[in-house]
Amino acid sequence: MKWKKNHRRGYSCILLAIIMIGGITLFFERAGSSFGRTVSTSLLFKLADSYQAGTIYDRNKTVIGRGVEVGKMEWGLEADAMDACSNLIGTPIQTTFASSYTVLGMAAPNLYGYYQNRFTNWKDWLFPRKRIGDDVTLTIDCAMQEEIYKTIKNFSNACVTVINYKTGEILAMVSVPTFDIRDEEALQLDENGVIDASYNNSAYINKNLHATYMPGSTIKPILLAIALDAHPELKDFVYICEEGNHTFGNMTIDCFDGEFHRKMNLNDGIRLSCNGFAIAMSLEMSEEELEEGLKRWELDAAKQYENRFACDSSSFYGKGEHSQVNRILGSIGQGNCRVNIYELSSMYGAIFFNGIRKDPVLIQTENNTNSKETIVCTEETAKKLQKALISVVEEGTGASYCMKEEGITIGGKTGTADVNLETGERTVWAVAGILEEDMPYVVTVCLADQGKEASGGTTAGPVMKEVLKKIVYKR
Amino acid sequence: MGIGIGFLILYGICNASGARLHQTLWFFVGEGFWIGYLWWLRYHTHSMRKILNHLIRLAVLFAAIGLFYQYQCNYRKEGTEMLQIVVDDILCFVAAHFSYWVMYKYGERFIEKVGKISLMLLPFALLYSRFVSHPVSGCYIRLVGGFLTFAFVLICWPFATVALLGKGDSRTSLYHSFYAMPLNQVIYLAYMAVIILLASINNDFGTAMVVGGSAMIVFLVYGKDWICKLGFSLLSVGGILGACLWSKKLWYRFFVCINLEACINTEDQYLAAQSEALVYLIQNISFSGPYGAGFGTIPKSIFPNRATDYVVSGILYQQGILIVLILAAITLLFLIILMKIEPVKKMENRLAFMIALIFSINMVWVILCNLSVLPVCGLSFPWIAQGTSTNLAFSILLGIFLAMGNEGYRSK
Repeated sequence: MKWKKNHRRGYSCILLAIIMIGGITLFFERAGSSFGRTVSTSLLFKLADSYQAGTIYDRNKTVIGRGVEVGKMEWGLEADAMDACSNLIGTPIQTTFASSYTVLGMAAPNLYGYYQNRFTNWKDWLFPRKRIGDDVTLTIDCAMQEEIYKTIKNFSNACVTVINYKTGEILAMVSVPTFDIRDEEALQLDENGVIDASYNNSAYINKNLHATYMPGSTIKPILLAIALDAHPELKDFVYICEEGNHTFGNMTIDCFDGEFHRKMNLNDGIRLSCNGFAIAMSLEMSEEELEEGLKRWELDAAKQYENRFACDSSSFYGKGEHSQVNRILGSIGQGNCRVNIYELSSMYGAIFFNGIRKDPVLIQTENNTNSKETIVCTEETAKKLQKALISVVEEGTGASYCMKEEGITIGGKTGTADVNLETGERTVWAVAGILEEDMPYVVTVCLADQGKEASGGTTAGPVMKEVLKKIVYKR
Repeated sequence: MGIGIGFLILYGICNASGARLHQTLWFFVGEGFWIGYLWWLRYHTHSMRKILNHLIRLAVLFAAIGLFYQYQCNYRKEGTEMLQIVVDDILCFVAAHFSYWVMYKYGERFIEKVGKISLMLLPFALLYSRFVSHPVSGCYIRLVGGFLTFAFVLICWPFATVALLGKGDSRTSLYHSFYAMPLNQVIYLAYMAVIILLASINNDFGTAMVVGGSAMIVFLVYGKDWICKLGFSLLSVGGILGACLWSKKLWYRFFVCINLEACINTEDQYLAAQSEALVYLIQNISFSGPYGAGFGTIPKSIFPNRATDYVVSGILYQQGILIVLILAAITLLFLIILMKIEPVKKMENRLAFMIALIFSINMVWVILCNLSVLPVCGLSFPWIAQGTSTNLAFSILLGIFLAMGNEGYRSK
C-alpha cells in the first residue's frame, strides 16, 4: 500500500520542525549574549568543577598561583611570601562558599570562566580552546606584602593594610596569624566542609576585610571632619582640658593616662589625642547632623562594593542605642564603635585626598582603572585635618614613625582601645598617610590582643615605622 | 546503522580509562544485543513496510545512544548500573514485541477495552499518588519494582483520547464547528481539564504538558475550521495558564525561561535557583565547545540528574554541540516519520496520531528544556534517558503503533 499524503499531518510536522529550529536558534542567541554579572555560589562551584583556574598575578606580574588542572592550583611564591598572601588569596571556594572576602571568591567568575564567551570567533567552532579560566591581576605588591609579613609575623593577632588613596588600589593586606595554603589536607573544616573561621585566631581569614575592631582615638579625625562640615565655625573651637571639665552628660571621661592638656584647639586636640576635645567638639553637632555625617562616611551603613569586593561594615553605634552615652563613647572610639581595618584606611585616604574617598580596587579590570569616588567632606575640612595629622606624627603621639628627617611628609593618628577593662586587653592602632606625589599611600597597623601597657604610640608606632621604612626604601 | 553502533562501542571502550570491567562487559553485551537485533530485523521483517523498518532502526539507534551515554555516566562505578540498564533495554524490546503481538491479535477490541479502563483509572491513579506518595516534582507509585504514574499516563492518555473523541465515527467526529460541539468533545475537554488539574496539584508538570500539549495539537490539526482550531487551541493554552496560576512553581518555571536575566538577580530563592539552572544550561555550550569535553568527563556536581532530566545537556557537555545537532536532526526525522505514517485501518488514525504526539512532545520538550528554552518538568527522552517504566511505556506505544501501521495487520 502506498503511503498516503495527509496534509493535516504535514502541518503538524511543519509545526514540530518550526518549534525545534526556533528553540535551537533561541538557544544560540542566548548563549552568545551576556546575562547579568551576579553569580550564585553553586554556579561558581559548578564552574570550578569544570574549569582549570586561570593564573593569579600580582601588580608586578609575579605569579602568585595558577591552575594546573581542574580543581588543583599550584602556588608560585616562596615560603614567607606565600604565607603573607595565603589568607588574602583564601582557601578553595568550596570551603568558603565562594566568599567575597578572599581573592579566590572575589575573582571566581574570572578565574573559572564565567565571563567567557567561547564563540565570538569562527575559529572557536573548529578549534575550541581548552577550558581554562581567565587570568587575574591583583593590585597587591607581593614584595611589599612579604616584607610587611616579616615585620609582624611574631604578633599573635596583627593586621596591616596599605592602600593608594588616589586610585583606591590595595597594595598590601597582611593578616597574622596565617596558614600554609599549599597544604590543603591540613585545612580545618567543619562537618559541612567549610573552614573553621575561628581556628588559630582566625588564621584562614584576612582580618583586614573580615573583622572589625574598636578603633580608639583613630576615629576622632573622622568625627571631627563630620563636625567641621556641619559647623565650619568649629575650626576655631577651643576646649579647656582640665580637671572638672571632663563631665559630659552623666559621664566623666578622662584623657589617656589621666593627663590634662590645658587649652586645646583643633590642631592640639588631634595632636595630643585629647578625649575631652573630641567629645566636646562632636557634641556641638545635633544628632541629625551626626547621623547624616556618619551615613556620608559609610559608618552604620552597609556599603556594597562593585566587582564582588566585600569587607565587614564599620559602625559608630554598633548594635547599641543611639543614646548620648553611646555617642560619647563612640566619639573616642570606645563602647560599641567598631571599624573594619580596610574601611578605616579608606576613610583616612579620603582625608589625605582632600575629601575624596575612592572605592577599593583589588583586582585589576578594564572597568576599574578609574574607580568610583565619593565626596565625604569638603576640601577645606580635609586640609585642616591633614595639617593636624601631620602635627600628630611630627610632634604628637605618632612621633615614633615620623620620617621628616628622611624628607617624607607623613600625617597620621594613633589609637588605643580598651577592649576589656577587667583583663586590660587592648587593641592598638597606628595610621599613617604618606603625602608624597609618588607614594600617595595610607598605611594602617592594627595590633589586637595587646596588654594594658600597650598603646598606639609606643606599640603600634614602632611597627608602623618599620613598615614605612620598607615601603619608602623599596621605591 | 550497525556500523554506527559498532563505532560507539569502540569509542566507548577506547576512552573509558579507569572503567570497571563488569560495567564495560555489560555495555558490550547491550550494544551487541542491538547490533544483533538489527541483523535479525534485516532477515525477518520482509512483510513489514519499509518505512516501519526505518522507524524501528531509528528507535534502536536511540537505545544504542542511550546505552552509550549511560555507560559514560556509570563506567567507573562499582555497582550494577550497566547490568540494570541492559536488562531494562531487553525488557523494552520484549514489551514492544508483546504489545505489537497483542495489538496485532486483538486490534479494535484491545483499543476499546484499554480506552475504557484508561478513562476510569487515570484520574484515580493521579489522586492515589497524591495521597500515598511524596509529590516532589512528579508522582511516584512504586509497584512491582517501579511503575511510575507518568508512564501510566503516557500509555493510557492516547487510548482515553480515542475512547472519548472516537476512532472516526461520524457521531463522534472531531470535524465539528466550534459552536456546535457534540457532547463527547465537551466531556473530553472537561476530562482533560481534570487531568491537568490533578497533575498540577501533584506538581507533575510533565503530565500536564503531555496531556495539554497533545490535546492542543489534536484540535489544531483536526479542527474543522479555523474558529475550531484556534478556539480549542486557546482553550488548551488556557488550561496550561490556569495550571500555572494554580501552581506558583509551574508559573515560575515558565517565567524564568522568558525573563532569564531579570530572574538571576531576584531575591526569590526558588526563582533564583531555577534561573541559575537555566544559566548553567546555556553556559554548558561554553564548557564543551563543538566537539565536547570528552568521554565521561561530566562531573555529577554539575548535573545531578544527568541520567534523566539532563541527558541532552550531558551529551552536549561530553560530545559537543555538533553531536547534539545531529541528535536533534535524527529526532526530527523520527518524529516526521511517526507523524506521516498512517495506520492501515483508518479507524485507528487518531490513536496513531496521539502516539506520535506523545513521542513528539517528550522528545522536543526534553531537547529544548536542556537548551534552556523551555522549563524542566520531568519529561523523559525515549530510550536515552534512564527510567525503566517510561522506556517501557514508549516501547509499548511503539509496538502498538507498528502493529497498526503494518500492512499485514487487520483489526478484529
